[in-house]
Amino acid sequence: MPPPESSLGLAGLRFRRLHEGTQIRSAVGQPIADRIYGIWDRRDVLRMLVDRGLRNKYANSVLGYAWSLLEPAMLVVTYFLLLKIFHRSQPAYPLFITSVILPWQWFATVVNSAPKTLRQNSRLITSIALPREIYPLADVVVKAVEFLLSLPILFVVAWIYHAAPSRYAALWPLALLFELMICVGLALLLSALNTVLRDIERGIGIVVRMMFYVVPILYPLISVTPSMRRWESYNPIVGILEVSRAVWQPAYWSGWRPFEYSAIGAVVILVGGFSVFARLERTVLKEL
Amino acid sequence: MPPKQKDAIVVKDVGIKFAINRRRRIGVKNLLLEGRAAATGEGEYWPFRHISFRVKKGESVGIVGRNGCGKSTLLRLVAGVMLPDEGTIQVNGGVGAMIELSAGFVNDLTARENVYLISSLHGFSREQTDERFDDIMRWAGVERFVDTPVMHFSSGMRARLAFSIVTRMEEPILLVDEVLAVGDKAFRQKCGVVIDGMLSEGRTMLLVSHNENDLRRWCQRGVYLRRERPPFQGPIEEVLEMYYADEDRE
Repeated sequence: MPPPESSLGLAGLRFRRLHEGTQIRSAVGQPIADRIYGIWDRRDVLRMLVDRGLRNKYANSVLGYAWSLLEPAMLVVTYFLLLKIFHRSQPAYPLFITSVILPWQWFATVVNSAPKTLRQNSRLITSIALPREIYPLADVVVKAVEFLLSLPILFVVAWIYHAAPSRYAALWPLALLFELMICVGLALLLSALNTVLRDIERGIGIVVRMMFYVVPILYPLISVTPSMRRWESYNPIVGILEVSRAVWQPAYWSGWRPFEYSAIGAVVILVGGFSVFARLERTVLKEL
Repeated sequence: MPPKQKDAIVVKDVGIKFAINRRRRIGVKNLLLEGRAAATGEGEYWPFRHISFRVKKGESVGIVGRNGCGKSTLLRLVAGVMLPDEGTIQVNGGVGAMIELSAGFVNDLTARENVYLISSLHGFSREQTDERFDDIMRWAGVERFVDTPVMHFSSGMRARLAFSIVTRMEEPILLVDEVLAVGDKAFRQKCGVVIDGMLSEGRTMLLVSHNENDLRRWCQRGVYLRRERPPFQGPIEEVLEMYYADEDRE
């Protein structure tokens, strides 16, 4: 009868893959493609970290998943009441707000929490060699899942106001893909920078709150002056919000320009995030 | 014909630098374009440069040197949790690193959760960890505290649990930094038996230690890191002799 250890060893070989091969730690940076392959190779870890992130979110809370619905619902109610007071109401105002505030919340929560992801996981990062990108990535995926979980709110509000998806609904998945790219790029950029520039995790909350009023959430983009509209369109988030709103209320569609900037912005931010992260990695590891 | 044996660890011309000033000037432009925080030239400190050595498969090598010569940093570079500023390090096979006693423990998670977390980071499935879970706990002697957050563990309990987890990862390459020095005698003896067993199975080990008994017991060769001079390498006896001679001269 073989000893139990050897059978364990054989079972291990089946599960454990490429990271068992040759690993090179070099002063010369790895090509981005290799880094992405390294992340893909350890997607099991990514899945595990996402799982942990979601579990933590609902641990020790009575309402659990209900919070994912309650938070955005309360936001909508708050702004609805606020705007009622100022008499700036649009038709079907709750739908007007809900359709854009959910994608906005996804973006805002990522930018708020991403800077801390490397520092919070410093013990794991400094004791186990894994692609470091995995930690901010996992945070983005957790926030994306929370976004998806909050979508029932949107569908309920749309149903209440008898809104049917317009032809812009075909663009929506693309808009969300752009948002994912922007979130990943920013999370990589901010998490790496924050280890050397601790001010980021403090300051980013203020920036996001200010941005909330600069992007067309409480007002439609078509209502501002053309020059303002042009400036706002440079923000890649704006095009994503415009599409999200036009899905239910196509009358507010202000043209293609913002969405074009979203497409360009998504690619630039994603590539920029990966390359800055790769450049900073050496410094980051010394600072953790 | 047996396949050609690759070396387990190949360190080639490696160096690393640190910024001396904690309050160094950070140029955002530098950060984004060059990927470093410190201004060039002054304020840099190289604990070591141009380090080269090899560790064959199944060999056990000890690293000695004075405090601050970069032994632990070198081990971190081999483990891949830091990156060199010069040179390359090639590692053929998975690495089990005992660099910090914590083994990456997350303080507010329980012992059980930590074992599953760390095992999965090492590439083990849930079922595989299930199989060894009781073993890990029994060896560490913390069966009664399975669901206690590790922040309430004593340093001895942490050390035992960390050692127990990492040695059951069955990684072919073991990196050990001084961890055996902290425990009491019984713990050191227990660890010693486990390391003996692993080395006899043909694992490779890189050991940082100030304990000459440990170095003599496990290492065939040594690398002596010295300031301003290339490292001295040779049989462990010669390395220790050289190291102590230098120490006495000071």
